[in-house]
Amino acid sequence: MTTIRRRFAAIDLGQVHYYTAGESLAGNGKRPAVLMHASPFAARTLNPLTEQLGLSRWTLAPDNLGQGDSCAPDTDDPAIGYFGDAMVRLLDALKIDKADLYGTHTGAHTAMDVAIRYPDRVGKLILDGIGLPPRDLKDDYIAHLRETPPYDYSGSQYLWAFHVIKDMFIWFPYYRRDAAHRRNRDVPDADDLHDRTLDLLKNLFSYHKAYIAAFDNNEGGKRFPDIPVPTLLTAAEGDVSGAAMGEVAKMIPNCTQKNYPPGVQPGDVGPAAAMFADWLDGA
Amino acid sequence: MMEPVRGFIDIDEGQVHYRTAGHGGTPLVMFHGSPGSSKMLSRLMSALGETRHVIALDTMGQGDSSAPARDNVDMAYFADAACRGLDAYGGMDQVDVFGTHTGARIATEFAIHHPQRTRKLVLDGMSAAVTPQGLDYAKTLDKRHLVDQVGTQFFNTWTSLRDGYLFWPATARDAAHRRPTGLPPLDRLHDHVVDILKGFRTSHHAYIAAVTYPSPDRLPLITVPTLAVCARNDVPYAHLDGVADLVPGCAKMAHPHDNPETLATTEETQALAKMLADWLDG
Repeated sequence: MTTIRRRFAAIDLGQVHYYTAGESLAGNGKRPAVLMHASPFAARTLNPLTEQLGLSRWTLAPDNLGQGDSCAPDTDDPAIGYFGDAMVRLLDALKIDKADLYGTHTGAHTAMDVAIRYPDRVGKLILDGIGLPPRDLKDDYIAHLRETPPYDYSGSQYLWAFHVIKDMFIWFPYYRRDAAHRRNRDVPDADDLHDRTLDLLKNLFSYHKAYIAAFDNNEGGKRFPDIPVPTLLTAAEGDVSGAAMGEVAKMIPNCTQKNYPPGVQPGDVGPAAAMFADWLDGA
Repeated sequence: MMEPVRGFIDIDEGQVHYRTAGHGGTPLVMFHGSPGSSKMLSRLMSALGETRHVIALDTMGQGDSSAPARDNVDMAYFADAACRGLDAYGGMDQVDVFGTHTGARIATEFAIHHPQRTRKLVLDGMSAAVTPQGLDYAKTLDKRHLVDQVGTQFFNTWTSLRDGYLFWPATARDAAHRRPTGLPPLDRLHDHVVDILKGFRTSHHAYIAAVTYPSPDRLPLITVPTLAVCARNDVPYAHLDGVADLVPGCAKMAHPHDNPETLATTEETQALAKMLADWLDG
């Protein structure tokens, strides 16, 4: 049986939902680890990492506001700082003074924002799959995320959501469905597709907010030099953000670069857990 | 009215997810129908929460509660899991209990096994018989094989739920089996689809136990003050008199409006809440 538990914490905007492991290890001398997930998914996708890091420290993986089971943002166009503030409010609610942060894709942007604006609250930072997307790609992607999903008595939303999720593993961007944009990776198994689609269906009209905020963040990598804490930069082979890693590493002041073990597909966080734990425990 | 807030309770086999609203009075524990979650009760909870502390538990294997501890569980298991959840929650030594459809079976077992803990019992949409039709229906409820990489389960859930509002049984799509109802608001229908998808691989445990529940044997064992209710347009309405006859000293009332709670307007939900609160407080 998994050691992961689900919890809610109350912040002023509503309830934040999170997965947690190693709660009994709080105060064991290691900083809690807070894991931030990618869009349009939910913290459930980080469960293999939550579970393994939870063997040695209190580990929490919150759902972004408007994604998973967390409450939706209360504004139409929140910037990444809105989500960073929410994470700090969660730390306050759970009486966590200082944490190590892991973030992947959207979560990497949120984690970076917290580290830059709340340096006293962050020990170490792991950024997974963060790159330097060109402005025209950002604008194109954001325009697609702003499209209102179908929603009607014919059930169009279910076919739409299923294919958005599935196509994210087939193309990048997922809406460029041609040979030139083909990704060379596996489609998730039926259970994982089910869970990911369900998380999107829970949030048809809010999932895009954190996603857009992340795409709109960090133009040209301008925020990387402001990261004040030791940072591990990582990506799996084939990660769409991974091509610029060498360049990004040079922009972050105190940066260690280490990739996932060979052959691990993007999103498969479990095989990287030991590497992350070792780095967090290092000097 | 305040939206209920959500939480989790840890028990041996995992977690019980709940929604809660209101404060004070004898706590009212609520059990939902299958397949679904406490979300289906949230509007009624908000209305009842005006006068008391209300807590609705997701049935094990449904909504956001963990799967049951094992296969082939009966209704007594679901009542026991709820009981252990309430023990861990605390402050629930004596409660009023409301159950609808599957939840009415869980509530019945709760009251039979814990008569000291149960102050009053409300059974909504309860059945007074096990029918051959129900036993056939039970064979269709394990749908795990529909979860696949072409998304069969999404279309199946949507169309099955829609048809359940239009025909009973949902698979008898002819004029003779047409229900006198339309579809609920789209948001409510979508929320219900999401709830069904949450428990898609495990909801059949409770649903099968409910459809095959031997209510003629179990209802006479209830010893606490009981009210049987049903909406006129709800499928089990024809059983209301039979349920009231089987439970010793049972009161019975039709909902103040024809619609079952899944189709009720805000005003209709508030009227039902008032009827239930008056009986609980009487």
